[in-house]
Amino acid sequence: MNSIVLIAWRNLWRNKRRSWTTMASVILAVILALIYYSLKQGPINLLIDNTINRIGHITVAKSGYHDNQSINSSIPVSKELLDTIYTENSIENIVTKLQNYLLLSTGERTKISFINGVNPTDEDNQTVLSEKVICGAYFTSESDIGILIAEDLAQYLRIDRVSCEGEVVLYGSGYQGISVALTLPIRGIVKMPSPEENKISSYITLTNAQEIFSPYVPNLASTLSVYIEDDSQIDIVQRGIIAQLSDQYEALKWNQVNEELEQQILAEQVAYIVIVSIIYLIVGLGMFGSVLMNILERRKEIVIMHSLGMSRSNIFASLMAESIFSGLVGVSIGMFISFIFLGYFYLNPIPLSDGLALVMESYNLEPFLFFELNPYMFIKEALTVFSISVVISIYPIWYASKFNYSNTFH
Amino acid sequence: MKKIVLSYIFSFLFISANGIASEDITPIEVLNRSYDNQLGKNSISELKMTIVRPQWQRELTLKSWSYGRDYYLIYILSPARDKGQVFLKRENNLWNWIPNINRSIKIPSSMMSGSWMGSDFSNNDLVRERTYVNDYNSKFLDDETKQGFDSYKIELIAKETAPVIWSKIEVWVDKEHFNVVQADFFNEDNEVISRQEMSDFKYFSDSFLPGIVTITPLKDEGHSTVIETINIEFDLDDIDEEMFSIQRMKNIRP
Amino acid sequence: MIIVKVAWRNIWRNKTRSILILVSLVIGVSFSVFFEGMMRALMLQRVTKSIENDISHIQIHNKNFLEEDDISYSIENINTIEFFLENSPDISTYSSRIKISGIISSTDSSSGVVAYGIDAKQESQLTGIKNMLILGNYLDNQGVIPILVGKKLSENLNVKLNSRVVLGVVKADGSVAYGAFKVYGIFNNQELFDATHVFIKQSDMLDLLETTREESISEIALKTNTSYSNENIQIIQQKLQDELSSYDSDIIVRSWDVISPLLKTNFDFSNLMGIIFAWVILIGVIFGILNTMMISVMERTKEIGMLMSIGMTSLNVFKMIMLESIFLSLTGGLIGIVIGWILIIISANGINLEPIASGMTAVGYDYIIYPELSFNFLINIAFTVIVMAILAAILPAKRAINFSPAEAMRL
Repeated sequence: MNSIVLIAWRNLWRNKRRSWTTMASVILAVILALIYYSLKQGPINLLIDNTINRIGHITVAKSGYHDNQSINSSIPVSKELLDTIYTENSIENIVTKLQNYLLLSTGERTKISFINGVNPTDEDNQTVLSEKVICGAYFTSESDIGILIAEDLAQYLRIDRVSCEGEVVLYGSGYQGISVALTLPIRGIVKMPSPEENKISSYITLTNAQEIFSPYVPNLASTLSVYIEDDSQIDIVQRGIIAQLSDQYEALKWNQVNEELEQQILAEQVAYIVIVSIIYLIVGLGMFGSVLMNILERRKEIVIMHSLGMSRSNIFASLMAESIFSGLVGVSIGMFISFIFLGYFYLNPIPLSDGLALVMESYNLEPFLFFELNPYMFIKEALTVFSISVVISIYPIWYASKFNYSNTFH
Repeated sequence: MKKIVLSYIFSFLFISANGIASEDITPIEVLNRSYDNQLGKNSISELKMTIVRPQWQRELTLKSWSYGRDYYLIYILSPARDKGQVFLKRENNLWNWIPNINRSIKIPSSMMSGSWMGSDFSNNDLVRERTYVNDYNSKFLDDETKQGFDSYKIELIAKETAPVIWSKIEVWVDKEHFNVVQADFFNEDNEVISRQEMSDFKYFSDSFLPGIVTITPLKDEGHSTVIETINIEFDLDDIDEEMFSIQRMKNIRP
Repeated sequence: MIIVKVAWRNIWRNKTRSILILVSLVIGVSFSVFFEGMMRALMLQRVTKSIENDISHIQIHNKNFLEEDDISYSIENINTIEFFLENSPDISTYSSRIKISGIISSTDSSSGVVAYGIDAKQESQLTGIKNMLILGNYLDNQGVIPILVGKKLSENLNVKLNSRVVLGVVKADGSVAYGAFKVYGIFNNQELFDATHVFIKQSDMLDLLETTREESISEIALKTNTSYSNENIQIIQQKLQDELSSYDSDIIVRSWDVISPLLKTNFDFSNLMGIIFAWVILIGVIFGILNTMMISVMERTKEIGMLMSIGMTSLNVFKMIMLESIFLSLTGGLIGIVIGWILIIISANGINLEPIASGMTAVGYDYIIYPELSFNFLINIAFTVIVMAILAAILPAKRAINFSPAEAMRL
């Protein structure tokens, strides 16, 4: 057996040029599949991360909140409730938010706004809100009073975007129908990446929001965003939370909250499978051609080996070993080249120009072409291409092991 | 002639008035009698509104001034947090004066469909004037006894072009005092969507009126709004149209 | 000429190899053609739908109206402007609308909407609203006061055909005017559109607002005589802007790509997608050709050496190898294009994607895709195949002429 492996290894390097042409197909298949996957998965992962950063892996709220996001569907957050959720494994953090639609008025103009009451530190950790401040200052602590207003909304309200001073009136209703009417100093203007949010969002601190929207029921929250350490535990954690909490609450995974994204992921996955299958098919045919040519070229050599006493099964084994080696070497080289290429772009995402940047921004993403890089994608593609390269050589090799003296040297 | 001011404040509530029943009265006359009678000069009243929800309830006390059909003011007496807020209705517009920020806000059309102070009426219900007599075709159904009152039962079918959402209203009017006892509001599938029930009838000065009005949106279980009349006076000398201005709204005191 | 013949024959000397490479070429090219047709159709259907049913080619407003959709910012001298539009050879149809924000209420709930007072006949010539109706009828009936609502809105309000709804619209003085309407038709376009748009007859809108047509037309949407993707749109837009400014100095004329830059990007992106996709596949295919030609040249070392030693010039050997590669690619490419074309024709009745992407309509796509052929793309791909074939052949051809006859013969 060892000798067969040795012979195969030597054969592989005997005619380098021939081996390289076969391996080149394998290398190309690995590179194309990996680049395509990376390009497809990069933006999707960005979308997923973005969604998770905003709403958490799992969102806990009053039952029905997701369908009707009214301030009256808020929940008082007790320490017991948090502790109950924290008993689940893998929970990293729970972020509390209180959100409400209110009118903002500067006297001159009035417009509806979606007001987010956030913990300044948590919000900044998750969505880097502080870097979106284009004038004024981000919150420094929970006790800060003041409002950050999205750029387009601020412009409509005629807020000066250089000094961004002044105050706005918040008007509307809070929890349990109480009336809300007060003035808040303008703390700053934030540029939201999504045009929709840029027209409607504003931010105050959670403590401030709780005082304004719900002075009688303390610690009110619209949602609890649960962040977990290990993404793969999400289903278990969700089941655990649902089992522990009464049916007054709902606990939804990010892809249940954002079904549109789930659909998009699915659609892209389908497109990916189709395209990659075609790549495999084409490159596979190329490989088949190379292996077949290789075998046909070595017809004489194979027949001589047989006549020198090598059994047909040993010939088959030796040629297969050769093909496996060539697959292994090809896949390794392909992975190496892809790793360098993708690694570079992973670290240096390609900035996008106007139009595409706009599309990205409408999805609330940074206008860069991001590449995905993870060990699983390498393992997956390597195994697939390697299997194809081996499976594809079975027929030519089986065919070769049947060569006989008479029809070769006639 | 006695009037109740509820109808000014929550204008979709039914109007009632004491009067003398005649034998051959038409449904329009029954409604007109309530309706015409309420167009008095002015009134002052004090009300308690309770908003009932499955998990909580909330109480507000209000003082209200009215002048004709188009003008009224509501001053919030309690809870303490909202004390001093004033709502002014002038014709089709609604303003809100908020003393703690020293501002008056005209409720924009985008907020008109929102709930008023968390109750089961919208801002719209406050502002829009309903002319039942003009918007519906009416006929008598068989008399019924409601809450011990021998009542006319009147069916109102919305006219094709009338800007009202209800397809049909059934209303019970006490034959003796011409008070509305109950009103049911239907959608086009003939389901009752909303119900008003009057109860605790008693004399306020010399008017026999319902002390409590309960509004129940039947699709939302456990939801209702209860309005209790604490006190009501009619035809006072010191109420005139000038009182109902944005300027005066800021200075009104209970 | 003899070289051409020799090259063609050489291809068919080793049938197995040539057929293998042809098959991969055919698959690559035909799938590229087919999928490009499908992807582009998917994107274009979305863009076209928005343009046909919502935006139109060009819209005209008072520029203040765009910032604050207040009825008082209507288009001035509307009759003169309409007369101009009617007589303009560039414009095929237009619709003058009263666009206004309002509240619609049913017994169950209320919702903020954009209400359009439209001329039923004008509008049906311009937009697909009439064809989007899934229930009921268009606004052409007399007698009742009809309103068309979107499917999503009908669900939100819990109304059906013939339900009574009350529409309140904001008048110029800021007060709200209410009117009763009967749900006369329910349309299905795209979720967001459906939830926020209602259509009533212009005459009913004027009655509601108690105003005249002359002082309330706030939007004119129009279709030109060219396709929306045509660059002449911009020329027509500019022309209208210049001409109409003399009737209303505040007028602003915008083409669809300015009204919805996102849509414009989608449109551009759809073209780019197909090209990227085709390139990925072509790289795979061309690599196959390079590989095959390389093996073929090496196999024929002796033969080529012999040809050169009997006087064939290097140039001719180079030409021969090049031609072999080009013939191979052209044959495969042509068959691939034809098969891709046939696939598109077969699926022209529509490919239903509902089972794999049930949420697509919510984001503005159709379930059913009608792939269509782009001749531009066909020419592109044919051209690319030839260029790639030449590039793929350079290396093997150079290899071939580098054999010295002596060296070649020794092997």
